[in-house]
Amino acid sequence: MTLDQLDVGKSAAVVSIGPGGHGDRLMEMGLIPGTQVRIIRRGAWHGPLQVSLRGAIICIGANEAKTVTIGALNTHDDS
Amino acid sequence: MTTAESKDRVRVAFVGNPNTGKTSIYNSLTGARGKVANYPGITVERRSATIQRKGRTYDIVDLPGCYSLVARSVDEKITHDELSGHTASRPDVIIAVVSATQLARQLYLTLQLLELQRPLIVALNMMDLAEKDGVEVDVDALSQALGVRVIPVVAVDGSGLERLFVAADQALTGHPLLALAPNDAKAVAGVQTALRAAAKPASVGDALWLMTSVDSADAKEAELCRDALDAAQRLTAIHPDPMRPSDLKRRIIAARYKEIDRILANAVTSKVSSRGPDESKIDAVLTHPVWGLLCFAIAMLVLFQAVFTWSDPLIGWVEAGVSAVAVSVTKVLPSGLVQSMIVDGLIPGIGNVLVFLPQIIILFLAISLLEDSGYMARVAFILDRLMRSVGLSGQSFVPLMSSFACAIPGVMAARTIPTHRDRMVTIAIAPLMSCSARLPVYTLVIGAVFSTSEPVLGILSVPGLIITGMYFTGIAAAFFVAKVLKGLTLQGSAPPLLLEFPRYRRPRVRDVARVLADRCWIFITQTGRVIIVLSILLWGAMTWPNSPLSSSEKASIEQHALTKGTDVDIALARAEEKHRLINSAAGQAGLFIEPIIEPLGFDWKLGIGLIGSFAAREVLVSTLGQVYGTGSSSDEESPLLRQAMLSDIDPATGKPRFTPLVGLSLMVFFAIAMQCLSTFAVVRKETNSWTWPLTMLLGYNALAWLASFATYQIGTALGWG
Repeated sequence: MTLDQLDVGKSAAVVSIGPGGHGDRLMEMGLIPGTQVRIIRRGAWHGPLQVSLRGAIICIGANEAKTVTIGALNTHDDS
Repeated sequence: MTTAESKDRVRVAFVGNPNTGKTSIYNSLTGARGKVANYPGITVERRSATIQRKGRTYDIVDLPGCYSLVARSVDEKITHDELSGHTASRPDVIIAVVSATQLARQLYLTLQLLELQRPLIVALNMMDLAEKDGVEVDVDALSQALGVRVIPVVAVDGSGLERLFVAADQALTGHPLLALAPNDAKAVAGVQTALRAAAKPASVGDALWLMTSVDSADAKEAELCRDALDAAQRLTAIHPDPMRPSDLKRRIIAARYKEIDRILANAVTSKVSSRGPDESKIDAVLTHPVWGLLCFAIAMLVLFQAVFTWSDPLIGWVEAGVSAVAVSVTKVLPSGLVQSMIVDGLIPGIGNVLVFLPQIIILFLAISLLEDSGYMARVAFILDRLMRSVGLSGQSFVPLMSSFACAIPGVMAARTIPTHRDRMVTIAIAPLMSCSARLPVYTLVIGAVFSTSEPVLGILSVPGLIITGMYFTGIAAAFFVAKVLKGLTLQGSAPPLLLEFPRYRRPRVRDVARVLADRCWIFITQTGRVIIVLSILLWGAMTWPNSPLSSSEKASIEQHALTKGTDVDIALARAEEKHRLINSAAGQAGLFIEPIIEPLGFDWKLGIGLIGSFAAREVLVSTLGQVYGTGSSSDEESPLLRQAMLSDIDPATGKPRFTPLVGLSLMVFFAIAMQCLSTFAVVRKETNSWTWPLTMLLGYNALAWLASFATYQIGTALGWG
């Protein structure tokens, strides 16, 4: 499942990020494998996502969110 | 190691993420002594100041906010260049500003700064906010873990700032906290050796920067570090192919965050979630698809009203002031060439600059409040989808909207757009938003040839339809140009939408005032220079050679006026104006271009008008007034001018020259053409090149010619002539 498919209000853990320069930026913003993310809100018409991540709120475009693979939360991770 | 202690002159650099309050700290420390300059060749500005403290001189520079030192954007490249000494000399001390509420992410940049192995201190800002959130930071533990001093500050009330200086004087050298795999560590060491051999800065950070910027390093940079790059490539088998995932880069990024998590586990405890429920509620409304858009629409309505209408009285004061100065100069200086040059050329030129200040101040006041409060990020969120569908970014909205009032502050406002590409496109299409200066032109034409038209479908007034049509013409041209630009020249794929929602906070008066002062100062000194020179040149072209009426011509005018019963002096004055203009360089140019503008339906009189309106679009009206002999003081409502235009008969055909179709063609031309020397000047300043403004000037005028041509020719073919 990718980040853009996560329902509003649900949390998940980042598994991996697709290749390419955008992916590097996403990682530098804190989307490291294992990081916990939660969808706060979704913009209308496939708009950007508001994601809670490492204590911050980040807006990620829908296209960029497609490159982030997510999985179930690992109970050990508390980032 | 306390390298800073022994020096008398210390170079200090402030570095940090956007939204850390870094600029607030800088403003508090430097106040009015801050100055703004250009980085050569690019549009980012350099903010620096020199202050004295206890017998020591500090050269402080506030680097652009950035998320990483890896050069993906101009801001990041500048920050890296300043820190490694490529631009000025390297700073002696780095002050890394982080927000206590966002350590989990903001320490990322701090770790990169530590890897540079230079003296560093950390300014931990927003301690008050952290306290409110229930986040406890053990400053000593954090300090221990990072290996450098951490100074808590609260920028908004100034506490802790004095201690920053003391700490900066005794700053410890940072060291990398990265735990690298043995192979990677070997690769890094190898690159460091190569850098040392090339006499370049060779810290771990410099090596890593090179290795992870390989894809995005520019050609010149790569050339300078050729040996080190080769070493990096040999050792790590990195290929400069942007499509392949660069494993080393990502391993390093992940390693840094692991380190951050480890540090924070010891140094930070947070009892509650770091955002209050109030902020979430506000966001729920402001980013709601319906309510959010509504709130935004209201905010924009107020902003537009302020820039468009509330600026009028202020503009009036400026104009009155300029006139008063001109009048007093005429009293002091003897009349003649010098007086004319000053009163008709220089002073209006300066006035031409000052007259924009009210709108610039109002617009930037609004933008500062929107940005500093944190609202702009929410706006970008709401608008992104919409703006992207037309090829623009969410942040383009405010600059483009304010360009409907006037493109000068609109183009200046484009600097708030973070991505270079979007900024350039926005600057390029801003002049196509029908600015308020076009309205007198539309009013003049509509008043002359469309005022008696029957309403369409019985209810829609023709003037209303036409004006709306002109606005849409401008917008359509803007879409077209944006598409062309994106396809042709501006490289790079669409930048990702990736931005942080800052906390809501009250803007500081001092920070807002700083922005206004900087923008006004830069406008007056840099853009103003060009505006004044161009104004004087244009005035000269429209005045010289200053040929007077012959005595026989004067006599016949007097005669004519006496028989008609009109005022002789006024008639003479108008005739003089007309004669001078037609025989001036600009006038002759107008006659010269007649063959080119004839297919558009224009004659030489309109030609002169087009040239004169380069000063400012609304000057078309007074120029036409001069040319048609009704006086340069004619305005767009003047019935005399209308009559003069309508009764102008083409001697060849015996038909009126100024028909409704010609009027339409003229309006279409004005909707698209770039005809404002102030816009030209401000585009030059904001793009830091002559290429952009010249290309826009030629391109838009060519496009306007085509549109006008199509309008006139098609209209004639359809029999509307």
